[in-house]
Amino acid sequence: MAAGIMASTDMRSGLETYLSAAEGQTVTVVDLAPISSVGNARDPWGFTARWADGREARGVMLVKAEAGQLETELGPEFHTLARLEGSGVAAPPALWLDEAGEAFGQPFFVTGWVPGTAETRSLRQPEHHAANRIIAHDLAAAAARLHGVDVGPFTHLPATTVATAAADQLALWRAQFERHRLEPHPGLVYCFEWLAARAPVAARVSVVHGDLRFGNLLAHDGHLTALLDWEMVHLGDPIEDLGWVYREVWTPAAACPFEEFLAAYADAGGVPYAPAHLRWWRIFGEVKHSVISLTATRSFAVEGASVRHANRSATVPGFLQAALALVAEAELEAAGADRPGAQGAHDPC
Amino acid sequence: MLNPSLDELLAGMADGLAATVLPELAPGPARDELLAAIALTRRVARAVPRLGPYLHTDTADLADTLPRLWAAVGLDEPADGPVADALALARSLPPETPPPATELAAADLALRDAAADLSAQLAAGTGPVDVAAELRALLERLAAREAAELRLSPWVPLR
Repeated sequence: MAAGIMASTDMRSGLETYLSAAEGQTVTVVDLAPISSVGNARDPWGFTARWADGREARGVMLVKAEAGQLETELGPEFHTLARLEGSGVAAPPALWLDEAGEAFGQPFFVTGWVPGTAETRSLRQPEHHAANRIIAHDLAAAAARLHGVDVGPFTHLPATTVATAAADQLALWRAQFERHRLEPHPGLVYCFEWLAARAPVAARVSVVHGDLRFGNLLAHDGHLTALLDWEMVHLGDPIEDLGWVYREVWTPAAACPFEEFLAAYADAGGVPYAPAHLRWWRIFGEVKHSVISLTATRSFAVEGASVRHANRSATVPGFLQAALALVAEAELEAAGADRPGAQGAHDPC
Repeated sequence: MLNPSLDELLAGMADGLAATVLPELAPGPARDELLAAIALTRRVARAVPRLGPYLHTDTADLADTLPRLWAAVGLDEPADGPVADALALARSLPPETPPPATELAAADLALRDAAADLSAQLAAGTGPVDVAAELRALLERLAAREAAELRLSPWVPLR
C-alpha cells in the first residue's frame, strides 16, 4: 500500500501542475484513488478536479501500464474519443493528454467521469440475465452506431481499405506473434496461414473498437452508458468487432444468445455480412487473443513484468481449440460446396 | 530427497505463503503479486507429476504423425539436425532409462518447429485436403493435450 500512496502523492502534485498549466489557472486535485480494474494496458485512477474559478468535475486518469500484454500508445485512443464526441457513440469525453509523461513520469490521459460499473460476474448469475440482455442489446446498438460513423475525421489512425482491412490486421498481429512467441506454436502458424489465404473484403471501412465486449463497457440504471478500453481502436472491417464480442471467455450468451445480439445489431443499422465472413473474424479473434497472451507471458519472462502475466500463454491451447474447430467447420462446408451438384460459390472461409 | 516430492514441496510453499505472508499484506500491488504467485505455484505443483508423461505422449504423437505427412507431400525426413535428433529420441521411447524432461522438452520443441513449417505450407489450402486435415487433427491433439494435462491456464479453476 505504501507504494500506492507514494504513487498517488506523486501523481496528484504532477497532475495538479499539468492541469493548471493546461487550464491557465490553478486546478486542485482531490480524492485521487485507483479504480479496481482487470485491464492491463491502462491503470485507471479516479479524482475530482477543482478550478480556481469554482468549477468542479470528476475525471478518470488512465495511466499507461509499464509492461503487460499490450503495447499501445495513448494518442490513438485519446484522439478517437475526442473525435467521437457528438457522434452519438457512448464513450467518455476526452479531456487532457500527457503523451510524454511530463507530469509525473508516466504517460496518461484523462476522460470525464461516466456513471456505471464494468463488472462481469453477473454474466454467470441467472438473476441478472434479464438486465444483461438489455445491456447486450444496448451494446449491439452501440456497435452499429460506431460502425456507421464517418471515418473521415479519424486521420490519426492508420488508413486502410475494404480490400486490405483484414489482411492489415492479420499482418499486424502476425508481426506481434513472431516478435513475442517463445516457442513455435504450430497451431497458430496454421491459423495465420489459413486466414491469410482467405481474407475477406469488408463492406466498408469503419472505426473498429478492437476490444468490444462485456467488461469493457459501463452500465448504469440498467443501460449501457459508455464503451471503455479503446486501446486497440483502428480503422478496419466492422465485422471484426462482431467476431470478438461473444468469445467464450466473456460471452453474455446465457443472457442474450449471439443470434439475438446479431439481430439487434442489424435492426440498429449495423453493417451487413455473410456468415463465413463473421466466422473468419471469429477465428481471427481467437488468434489475436492468443497473441495477446503470448505477449503477456513474454513481458514476464523477458521484461520481468507482473507474475499475473507469467502463465498467460497457457490460455492459448483453449483459444486454439476454438479456432481450429471453426476452421474445421469452414473446411467441411467447403468440401460440401465442392461436391458435384452442390449449390453456391466455393467460399471456404 | 524424495519426500516431500517436488509437487508436494511446491504445494507446501504455496500453503505456507498463503497462511503466513499473505495476511500480513494490505490490499495493493504487493498483495496482488503474492496472490498471483501462490496461485501459479499451486498450478505448477499440480502440473509437475504430469509433465513427464505429457511430454512423452506429445513427442511420440509428433514423431508418429509428421513423417506420414512429409511423405504425403513429397518431403524427405530430415537426416540430421534437431528434428532428426528429436525423431531418434522419440523412436527410442519408452527407453530403459527415460530421458530427462529437459531432453524430452527439447525434442518436443524441435518437432513442433517442424510442424510449424508444415503448417505454413499446408494451411493455405493449395496442398492435398486430406493431408491438411490430418495435420489439423495433430494440431488439435496438441492443443487438447496441453490444456487437459498441464492445466496451467490462469483461467482454469484450481480445484
